[in-house]
Amino acid sequence: MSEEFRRVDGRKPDEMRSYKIKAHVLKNADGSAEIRLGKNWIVAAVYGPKEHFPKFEVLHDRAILNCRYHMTPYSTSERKSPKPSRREIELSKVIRSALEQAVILEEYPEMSIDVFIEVLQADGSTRVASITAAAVALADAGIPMKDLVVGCSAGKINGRIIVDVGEYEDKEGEADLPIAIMPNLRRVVLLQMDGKLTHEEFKKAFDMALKGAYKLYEEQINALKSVIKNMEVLEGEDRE
Amino acid sequence: MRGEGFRGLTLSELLTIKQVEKLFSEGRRIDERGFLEFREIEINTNVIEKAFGSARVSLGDTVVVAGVNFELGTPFPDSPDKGILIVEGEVLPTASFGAEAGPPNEYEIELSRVVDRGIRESEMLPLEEYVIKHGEVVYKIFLDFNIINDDGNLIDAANLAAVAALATAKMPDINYVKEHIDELNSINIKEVPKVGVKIRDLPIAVTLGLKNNKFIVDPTFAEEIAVESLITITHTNKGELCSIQLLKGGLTFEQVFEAINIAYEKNIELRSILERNGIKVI
Amino acid sequence: MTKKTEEHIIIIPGIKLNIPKKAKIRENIIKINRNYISTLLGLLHQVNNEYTIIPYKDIYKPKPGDYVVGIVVNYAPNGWIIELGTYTKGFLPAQDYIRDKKFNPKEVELSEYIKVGDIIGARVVEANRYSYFLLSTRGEAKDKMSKYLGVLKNYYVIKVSSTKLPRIIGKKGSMIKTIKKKIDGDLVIAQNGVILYKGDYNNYLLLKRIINFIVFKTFAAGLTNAVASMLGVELEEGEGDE
Repeated sequence: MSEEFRRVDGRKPDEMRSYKIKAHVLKNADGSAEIRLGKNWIVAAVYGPKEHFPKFEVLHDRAILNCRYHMTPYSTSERKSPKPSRREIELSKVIRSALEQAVILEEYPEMSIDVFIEVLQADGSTRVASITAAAVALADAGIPMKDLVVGCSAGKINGRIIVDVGEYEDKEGEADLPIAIMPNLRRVVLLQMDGKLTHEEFKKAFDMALKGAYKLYEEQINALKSVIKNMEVLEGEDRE
Repeated sequence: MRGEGFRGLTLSELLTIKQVEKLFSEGRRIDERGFLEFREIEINTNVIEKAFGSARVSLGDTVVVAGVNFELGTPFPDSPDKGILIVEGEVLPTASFGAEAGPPNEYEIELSRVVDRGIRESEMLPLEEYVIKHGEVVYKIFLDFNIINDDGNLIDAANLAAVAALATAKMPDINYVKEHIDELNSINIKEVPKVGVKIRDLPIAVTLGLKNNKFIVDPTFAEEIAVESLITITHTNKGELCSIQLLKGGLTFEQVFEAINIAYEKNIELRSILERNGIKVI
Repeated sequence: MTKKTEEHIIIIPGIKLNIPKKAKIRENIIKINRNYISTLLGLLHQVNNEYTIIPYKDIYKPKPGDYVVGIVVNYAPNGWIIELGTYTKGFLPAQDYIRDKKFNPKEVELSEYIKVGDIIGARVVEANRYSYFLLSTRGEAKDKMSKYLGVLKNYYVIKVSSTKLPRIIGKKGSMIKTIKKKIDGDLVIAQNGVILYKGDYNNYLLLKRIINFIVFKTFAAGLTNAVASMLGVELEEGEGDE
C-alpha cells in the first residue's frame, strides 16, 4: 500500500476540520449562532422582523432580508481595513441570496430581517461557515423557514481534490468550490468556483463538498436541539 | 438586480416581464429564440484610440464597452514577481431607466468580480512576465468596462468585451522599459513602442437561466427577472471550468451538472465567434 | 378504545415530519413536495389526529380583538404611536381616546391626554399588515377588559415572549387560576406578552418567580402541578395537568 496523502494540517483529502456550532449565543439578538470550523470563529446575529426604513424601499409582498458579511480587522494575519471590501459586498450578496431561498419572506410583508455575520477569526472557507451559522441564527430567531441552509467547500491542491479548504489551501491551491445547500429540499443555493477544474474533477469536488455539508447539517441540528434541551438554564425572555 | 421587487421599472419593462412569463408557460421565448440560442453578437475591437486596447460588444440590445490601460506600479507585497490586473465594471446611468449614477451597487460588484475571476483564474495574461524590477516595479493593467445599454446577460457580454479588448491590446514593450530602467520617472508609458499582448487562454462565460426546470441561455433583462435561477459558468480554452457563480435562486444537484454541460457546448460556439473576429489563443 | 396520546418531539425547520397523510395539521406546518415540514424550531404537539408545532420562539402577530399593552413612543398629527414589541407599531387615533364630539385635532395638544412614555392598554381593531395596527381604547359594554383600556398607571410590569402565554394561562385557564388562588390583586395579561400586576410587592416577587419558572420550563410536562406546589396551593379535581 502506498502511503496516504496528507494535507498541510495532517488531514486526509476527505477529512473535515473539527467543528462546533452553538445556537443562541447572544442575549440581545432575536436569534444568534456561533460556528468554529478549524480556526474559523464566526458569529451570526438576526434582528427582526422589524419595520423597514426607508419606507420607499419596502416590498409589499414580502420581507426584505438584509445581510452583512464582515471581517473584523484582526481576523486575518494582515490587518484588514474595517471598511467593507468589494469581496465582502459580493459575499454578503451571495449569502443573502442563498438564505432568501429558505426563509419564508412572504410571512412578513413590508418588514425587514437583518442578518449580521462577523468573522472574528478567518481560517479559509469563511463564507460557507458563515452561511451555516446564519441559518442556525435564523431558526433560533423564530423566522419561518422551508429548510436550513448549510455550506461546505471543496478544492484542489497539488492535483488532489480536498474537502473543507483551509486558509493555506485556499491561498496555495489550484481551485476552490464553495457550495451551500438546502439539505432536505436537496437544492444548491450558493455555488461559486474559481481556479481550474476539469468536469471530472468538478464532479468529485462537488460530491465531497456535499458530503461535508451533510456532516455540518447534523451539527446544526444538534445545536438547535440543545437550545430546547437547555431551556431551563437559558434566559427565556426576549424582545424586552 | 435591477428590477428587484418590480421597482424602478417602466411600464413597458413591466409588461415585457409579464409577456415573458406567459410565453415561458407556453414553452416559448419572447424574441422567438430557441431556449439554447444566443442573441446576435457583434464584436468590434480597437474602438477607442486612446486606450491600449478596447472593444465594443453588443449582445442583442445589451451594449458593453471595455478599455485596457497599462501603467507602471508597485506589486502587491504577497506577489512581488507578478504584474497587477485590476478589473472593474460599472453600469452607466445611460443603461436603463432604473440605472443610477454613484458608487457601484452589489450587483455591479458581483458582475465585475465574476468577469475578473474568469480572466484571472484562466491565467489568460502572463502576469509573471510583467515584472520590470522584482518587488518594485511591475505593469499595472486596468481593464475597465461599462454597460452602455442593459438588456440582460451583462456578464457574458462584459466577459466577451473584456477578453476581446485584452486579446487585441497593444502593450508597451517591456524590453524597452527594462532597457530604460534608470529613467523610469521620465518615461511616458503611452509613448513606449508597443507590442501585441500575448494571451495564454480565453475564458468564456455562459449564463443560464432556469424556468420551469428548463434552461435558457443568454437571458434578456425581462427574462432575468422572470426566471427562478441564474448561473454563470466560465470555461477555459481547454474546456476546464475556471469560474462558477450562482447569481440567483437555486438548482437541484442534477441541474448543476446539466448547466455545466450546456455551458460547455455554448462556450465552444462563442469561442468560434471570437475566432471569426481574429481573437484566439495562439 | 384508543388512548388519548400527547407527545413532544423536538422539530427542526425543514425536516420531514412523521405525520399520517390524513392528519389535521395546524400552526407552523406546511406541505412541500408532498411532505409535511415545520417552518419553525419547536416541539411537535399531537393530540389525537391533530398536529401543531409549539414554537420555541415566534413573533407576535396581532389579531383584531387582541388585548395588548404598549408604550407610547411618538405623536402623530391625529393620534399616538405605540410600541407593542412586535414587528410594527400600533396607532391609537385621537378621536378614539378623546371622546368629545367637538374634538378638533388641530386645536388639541395631544400630550395633555397621553404622553410619550405612558403605558396604554388597548384592543386591536385592525391588524392590516400593510400599516400600523389600529388600536382602540373604547371597550364594548361587555368587555371584561374595559377597566384596563387607556392609560395604565402604577403597575408592576413583566415582559415575556408571547409564545409563552399559552403556558402561563394554561389549559382552559388552569395555570392562571392556580396562580390567582395565591396571588390576589390586579393581574392583567396582554396578548403581546406584557403582564401587569397591581398589589402587594411580595406577591409581585412571587409572581415574577413563578412566571420565570414557567418561561424556562415551557416545554416541561406537569407544569401546573409544579407551580401549585411552589405556591403551596391545593388543586381541585380536573385542575391539574393531564
